[in-house]
This record gives sequence, C-alpha cells and structure tokens, in this order.
Amino acid sequence: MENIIEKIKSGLKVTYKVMKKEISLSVKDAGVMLFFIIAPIFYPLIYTFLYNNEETTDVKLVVVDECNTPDSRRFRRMVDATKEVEVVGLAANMTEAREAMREKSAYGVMRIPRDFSKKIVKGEQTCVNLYSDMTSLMYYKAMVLGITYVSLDMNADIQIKQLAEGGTGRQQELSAKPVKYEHIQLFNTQNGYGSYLIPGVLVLILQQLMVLGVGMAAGTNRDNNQGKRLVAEDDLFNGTFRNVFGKAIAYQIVWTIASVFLFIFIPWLFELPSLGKNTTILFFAVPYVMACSFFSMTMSFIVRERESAFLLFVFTSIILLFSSGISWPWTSMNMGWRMFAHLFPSTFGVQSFVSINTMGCELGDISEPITKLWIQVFIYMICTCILYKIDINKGKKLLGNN
Amino acid sequence: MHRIWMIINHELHHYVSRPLYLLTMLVAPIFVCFFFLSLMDEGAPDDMPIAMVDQDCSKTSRNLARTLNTFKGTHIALQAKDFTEARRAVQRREVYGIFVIPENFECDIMASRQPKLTFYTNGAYFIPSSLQMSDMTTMCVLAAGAASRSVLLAKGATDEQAQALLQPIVVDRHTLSNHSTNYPVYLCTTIMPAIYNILIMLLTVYLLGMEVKNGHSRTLLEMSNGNILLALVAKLLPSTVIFTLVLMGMNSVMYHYLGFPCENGILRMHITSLLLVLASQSLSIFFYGLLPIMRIALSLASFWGVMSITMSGFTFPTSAFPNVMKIWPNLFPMRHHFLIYNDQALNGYDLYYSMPHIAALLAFTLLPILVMGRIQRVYEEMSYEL
Repeated sequence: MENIIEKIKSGLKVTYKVMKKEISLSVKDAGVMLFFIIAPIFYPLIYTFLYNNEETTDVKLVVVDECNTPDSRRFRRMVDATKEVEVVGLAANMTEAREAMREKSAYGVMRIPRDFSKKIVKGEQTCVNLYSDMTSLMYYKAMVLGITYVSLDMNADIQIKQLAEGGTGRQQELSAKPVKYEHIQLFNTQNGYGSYLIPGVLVLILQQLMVLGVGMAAGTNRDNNQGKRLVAEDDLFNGTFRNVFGKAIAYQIVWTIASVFLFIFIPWLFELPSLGKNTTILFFAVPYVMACSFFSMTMSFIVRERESAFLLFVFTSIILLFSSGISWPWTSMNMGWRMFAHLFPSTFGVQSFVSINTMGCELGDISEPITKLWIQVFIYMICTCILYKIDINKGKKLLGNN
Repeated sequence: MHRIWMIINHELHHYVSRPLYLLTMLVAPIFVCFFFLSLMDEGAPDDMPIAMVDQDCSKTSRNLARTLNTFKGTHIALQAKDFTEARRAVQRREVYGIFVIPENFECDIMASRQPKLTFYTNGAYFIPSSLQMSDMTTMCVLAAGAASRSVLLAKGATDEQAQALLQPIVVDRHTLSNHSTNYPVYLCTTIMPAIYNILIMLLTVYLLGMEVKNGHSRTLLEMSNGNILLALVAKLLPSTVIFTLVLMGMNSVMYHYLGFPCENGILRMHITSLLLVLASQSLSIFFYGLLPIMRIALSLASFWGVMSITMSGFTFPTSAFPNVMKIWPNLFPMRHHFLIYNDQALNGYDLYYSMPHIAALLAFTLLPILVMGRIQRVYEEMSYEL
C-alpha cells in the first residue's frame, strides 16, 4: 500500500517538475513568450479596433438627375440623409458619372429618369436606377438598402395622396397593404460585422498561437537534441505520461488565464455581444484549451526545426475560420469538408463560443460541440502519448548506443 | 553569370532536399485552391435551413410555405409547433431563420383585418442572415402583392394601375460587374492569392535566415564575390519564379477555366501577380534586414501576411476603418493587388486608373536597398540567435 502511495507521490513530483519547466520556458524563451503572452494580447486588440465601426456608412454615390423636379430633388435629398448613403455630387449624364466611378470618387450611380415626376402624377409606375460597383458586397448592400428605404417612404406618401381620392384612408390602406410583415434580427441585432466575426477570430487565435508556440518549442528541442528528436535528454527517464501531462497541465494553466482575457475581457472592452454567463464560458474554455493543447502537442511532431512552425501553421488560419462554418454556412458545406473540419478543435470551439457569447446559449444547447471537443481531447491525448513514447524509446536507444 | 548559375543551382538543390519546401511552395497553394473553390462551388450557399411556425394551417399558409421552400437560399427543415421550439432550434444551430404565419391568417386576409407575417434571422451568422432576410422579404412582398392585387383587380383596376398603386416607385438595380453576385468571384479572387502571399513572405524570410542558421551565408557571399545584391537576387530568383508561376496557375484556374470575370484579359492579371511577388519578397527582405533575428522577422512577416486579408478591404471596406487606420492599408502589397484586380479584371477600366497601384507595388521593390548593408554584415558575422 505504502509502495503505491510512494509511487503516486514521485509520479506527481516529476509531473510537477515538467510543468514548472514548461511554464518557465514560456517566459525565458523570447520566441515562445511572443506566442504565449504578447500575441494573445496584441492580435485581438488590433482586430477588434479595425472592425469597431461595425458597418459601412455613407457610401459615396453620384446622382444623375434627368428629371430635376421638386419630387426628384426630394428623392435625392432623402437618399443623402440616410445613414447608408452619401450623395457626393451631381453628374450631368451617365458618362460623367461612370468617370467618377473610375476615379473612385463614387461607388455607385443613381439615375432618376426624365419622366419620374410625370409618371407619379399620372399614377403610373416609375423607377429609379441604381448602378453599383461590385468590388465590395458591403457597398452594394448599403446602397440598395438606403435607396430602397427612401423609395418605400415616398411610396407610402404617394399612395396616401392617390388613395384619398376614393373611400376612407383606412379602407384604401387595406387594399394597398392587405398583409403586413416585419423582420426581426435575433442576436447581433445591429448586424455588425465585427460583432459577427470577432468572437470566432478570438477562439481561433487561441488555437493557432498555441500550435505555433508549442510547435516552436518542439522545433527548438529537435535543433538541440541528438538525432533530431523532440523530448529533451534530461526528460527521457521521466516516463511518457509524466512528460505529456506535465506539459499539458502547464499549457492548461497559462491558456486558461489567456482565455479569460480573450473570451471575457475583450468582448467586454469592445462592447461586443456577450450574452453568455461566465460559468458557461468556463465550461467551454476548459475542454477547448485541453483539446488545443493535446492537438498542439500532436501537431508539434511535424515541426522538424524551430522556425518551420511558421511556414506550416500560419496560413491555415483562414482555412480553419471557413471550416468552422462561421462565414460559409455549415449546412452548405459538403460532407467531405465537414469531416475535415472535425479534425480541428477550432471548429467546435468557434461554434460553441459563438452560441454562448452571441446567442446566449446554455450548456444544454451546445452539448453537441462540447461533447465533440471532449472526444478530441481524448483522441489527441492518445496520439500525443503514442508519439512521445516512440520518441522517448528512440532517445533511449541512441543513449544506449553511445 | 557563372556565379549566378552556381548560386541558383545550389538553391534548387536545397529546395529538393527537404519536403518542407515542396509542401509550402506547391502542395499548400493547390490545397487552398481546392478547398475554397470546392467549398463555394454552388456560387451562393443554397437551401439554408429555416423553421416554419405555421399557426394557421390553411390552404393559403401552406401555399406560402411551399413557395418559400422553392427559393434557392431557403429550405424549410423544421415544422415547429410554436416559436419557442423554433428559437431553440436556432440556438442549437439546426436552423438559421424562423418564419411565423399567425393564427387565422387566411381568414384575416379575407376579412381585411391586415394580418402580420413575422420572420426572424440569426445575426450571429452573417451570410445566412443576409440571404435569408432577402428571401423572406421577397416572400412577404409577394404574399402581400398577390392578395392586394386580387382586391384591386376585383374593383376594376387594370393590371398596370394596380401595380402602380402598390409600388409607385421601384428601385431598379444594375450591377456593373459580377452580375449574379457570385460568392467565389468575390471571395476567391483575393483570398487565394492572399493566403499564398502569407507563404511567399514567410518563405522569403525563412530562406534568408536559413543561410545564417545553416552557417552557409559566408559561402554565399564568396560565391557572389562579396556582392550582397547579386547574392540575394540569385538566391531568391528561383523562388520568385516558382511563386509567380503558382499565382499564374491560380489565375488560369479562376479566369480561364472557371470563367470568372476578367475584362481586360488574363495577361494583365499575370503581370499583377508578378508585381505582387516582387513587392512581397522585397518587403520580406526589408523585414529581415530590419530585424535579422529569424523568428522576429518571421513573426513580423506572419503579422503582415495575415493582416493583408483584412487590410486589402475585400470583405470589410477600408473606408469603414477607424480614421487613424485609413492610410495603413497602402503599406500592404495585397491591398494594391486587390485594387488592380477590381479595375482590370472586374470592371475593365483603362490601365491609367491602376497606375498609382502599379507604382506602389514597384515602390516596394526599392525597400531592400535600405537594408543591404545590414544584411551583408549579418551574413559576414553569421551569428544565429534563438
């Protein structure tokens, strides 16, 4: 009995030793520190700052007013007054207007036809033409929205005038609008771009920086060790599990602190949607960090030297963001890419965090992605242990040969 | 000339010596193309699930649901019995939107009691919410239009009169390019070169730094007879050729094979690719000269490369950045690549309008001159720092 307790004691001691070494490494190695401490602070700040305006306002538009009557002038004044569009000038004709677009002084042209007023007075349907530059979908959307709002406003005025000629107003309103409708945005109600993208980016940043940091440390070990192996010679006789778990605990401590900063402090600081309870966020952050740390340790085996971690992992960030289903809808991805996405903790991390933070979900609503995170923890833990075991055995053999 | 060949030859041997180069120079960009083009092969995401809450269950409401289901972007995946059930499905990410038809919908139309349709979209997911909002709005307009039209026609109005009364002013939209608002045209044309651009920048710094780390930099200087400019040009030339060819391959796939808009011909895009490679590699040399510790230069190149995607402004326009950040995008070669693409491929403008950006990309190639002396010193001292 005492023997077992002794064994556990010494096991814990070694695990603690490995853990301490790993934590001190992240402070001593300036390269690793960059990923573990500086970048997690810097990246979220700059991204959130860039997207802080949330939407495109006052998109520049030129007007070709062929009609030039009080009606048409009122229409273009109202367009100018919308939040979405700013009328930067009048052009005499379409040629002049197109030139303004080529010079980028405007992103769209609104043409009011010559018979605009005449048709309204006669009770015929008239139209306003919008010619839009398609370099940015957000410009296009803003211009369409702005002009549509104005047309709806003016339509209502015209209808009331025309309909007043027969029957009561209410009767006529009913024949013009027998059905009402309303659009309600659930969550991210302002439809802000930053509020949509940043929560996903925050989750992804954690995984990517961890993979880079752990990969870089592994590469450094390979540079220093005989036979380009990963586990340092001092640690060879610690045992596989003690090595793996000592490191995992170290990462868990450092990155759980970082996740409080990323998932609670940053959304608060930049007033992003944060409907989630802090306890729910913690229930998500613990398995996410754990999955990421075992994933990073597994991935670190393909890093053959210190600097190649950059080449292997940095460019994958955008692919992983798309795989998570935050921008391209998950339901429109084919089965193959959905399976591919299952390989990465970030996929379920992004899905869970967006649900908690933006949509105010409780644990019960996100049991599926959280369960998948735990499965990843388990699988990558086994992978890591196997890879460490192989590496350690190789190291022992090399030592024995010497 | 002989010296240049010697260096190039040495460099090519170095490339084939490690799988890392094959992986990052060729396999990664092919995977990136395959990923984005096959992910978006539908053009726009279709059949995104919504929940239908039909509290009326009449012929009219069922008709409405059937019509909505035929829209390209929308698929009714759940018939929910009440709003709560539908909302929970949204929170479990099973559906993106909810369409509610109220009780007595059909009767209320008949009796002119003006019933109200309500639809909900989930703003946490930008693309589905935008597309479903437009689908469901159209559906409501159609439903309202059909009902009022039949009333007005019954009262003796002609078709045109009814139409004019319902909507006196229509907004007629004309997109000047990318007429079908095809997502791959709008996303892939910038995101694919931008991801490869990250690798271009990282590999350039890596190649420069490895000379010192491998202890080969003095030999390189000897091979070039002490001329650092010759040494660097010859060393990086093979990579410049490979990067440009890969980008040209991407151009061919997009503009030639898939027929993305390319108004002024593919040759101009090929030249733009070459300019992008030259600008990005020059910028990377500058970074390495500025901070000749490899991992710091690589960190800076990573930052620049990843930020390029935001800074190019192809998703979120740069005009919406905070004021202090508005000039920054000009310091990213990808930004100029994006603007040249807009003018030359998408809009087919005269070359004159792209001149400032071509000049900007060329200006980047002058940057290395500032750090040549420094790199020469580093290469002579050959001290590798962790």
